[in-house]
Amino acid sequence: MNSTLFSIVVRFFVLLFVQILIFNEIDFLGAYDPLIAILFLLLYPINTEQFSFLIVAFFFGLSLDIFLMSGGIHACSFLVAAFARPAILRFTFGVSYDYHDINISKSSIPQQLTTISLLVLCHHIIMYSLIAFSWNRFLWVIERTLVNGIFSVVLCFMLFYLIKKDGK
Amino acid sequence: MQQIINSILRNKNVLIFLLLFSFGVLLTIASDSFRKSTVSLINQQITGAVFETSNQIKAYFSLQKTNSLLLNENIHLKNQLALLQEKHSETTYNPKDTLYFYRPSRVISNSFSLRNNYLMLNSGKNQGILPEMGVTSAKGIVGIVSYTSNGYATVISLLNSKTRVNARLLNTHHFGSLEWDGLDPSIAKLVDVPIIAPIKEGDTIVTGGNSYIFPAGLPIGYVHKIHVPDIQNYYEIDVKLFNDMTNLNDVYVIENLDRDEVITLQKKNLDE
Repeated sequence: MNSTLFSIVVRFFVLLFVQILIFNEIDFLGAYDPLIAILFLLLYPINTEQFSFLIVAFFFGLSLDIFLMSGGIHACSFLVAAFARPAILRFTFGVSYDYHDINISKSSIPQQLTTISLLVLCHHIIMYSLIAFSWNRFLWVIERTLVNGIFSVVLCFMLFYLIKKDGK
Repeated sequence: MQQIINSILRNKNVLIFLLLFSFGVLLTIASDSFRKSTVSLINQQITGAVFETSNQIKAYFSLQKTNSLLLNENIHLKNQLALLQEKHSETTYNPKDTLYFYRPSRVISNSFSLRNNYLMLNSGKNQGILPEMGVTSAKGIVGIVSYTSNGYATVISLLNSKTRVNARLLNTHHFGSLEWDGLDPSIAKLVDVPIIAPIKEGDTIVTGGNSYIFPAGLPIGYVHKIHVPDIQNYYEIDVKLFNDMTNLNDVYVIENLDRDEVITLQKKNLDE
């Protein structure tokens, strides 16, 4: 097994269990759990094929669903966030994304924050829409997305910084 | 033909996205039937083992709180027992007449932020737990067992759109149906209470006992807010639950010892 594949597999399981056993137990104000598992999508190698990335992201979300007993909610939201990743990276990094010469961990803080925020936003909108499953609760979806989103972005960014420092 | 294959290959990312997305939505909508499948039973064994280990660690941090909770419940039960013994000392009271049997269990996984929430218990078929048994904690009812594997049981939480529990007002004996609207994990809704019932904020709500799942008189919560609808003749009452559904640990599973008899009787009535 080459080292890229190996680190993907390790990240898959570490982020999965850290999310389930630690971050899903936070229950801030009784309802908010920061989502740090989205780092999996952020750290996934950029120069890989989108096709396999979508499948891996889907199964990562599905594994979360199995543990959290949430049907297919995370599978869908991770899939959408993965599908949106190229567009998000192109938005943040401009043309350099098309030449595959970007490195998220070496980019500037605003760029990192934008990427994380947009990924979290995509994920949360889909996740809370699927939880609510009705137009009547549109405001609830927006409120949850914003509050939990800010919470997730802050923690993701802090963790990302730690991983980055450690990895170097 | 070549062109069709080419266009599929060109759009394979979009196609796999749509395919997987529909599959995910299907899983979300039909999660109940998916849960009953064999694949899901194997899942239950694996996830159960993971959560049980983490729960054993977590349980240490709440030992003191759990102790005081159990102590309070013990005192309450002892008082009730004393009352009962006094009442029945001269009449023919036989403790074997009991209709319900309680088994202890522990919540190892609990969801409450979804629309349809479930819990997992660390006991299953091997401990005598079967579907459609009621689950309660020391403070109030928690949910109904939906299916069991050998070592674990999945419980439909009170916080689920499918849950309907027969409930009544403690003082007036007016019945209603308890359900959850998906908004606040500490508030359930009591509907179908007739408008002639005298009711005020703070009244206690207990189980009604009109089913074979829960015995009558188990605590649920108290009246938090009363909505009087314009047209209908029924109240819609916000019930503040006694239980903190986001923080559950030790629970009891209630078996109705006459359950088989009741079910056959109900089936007979349906057949006629």
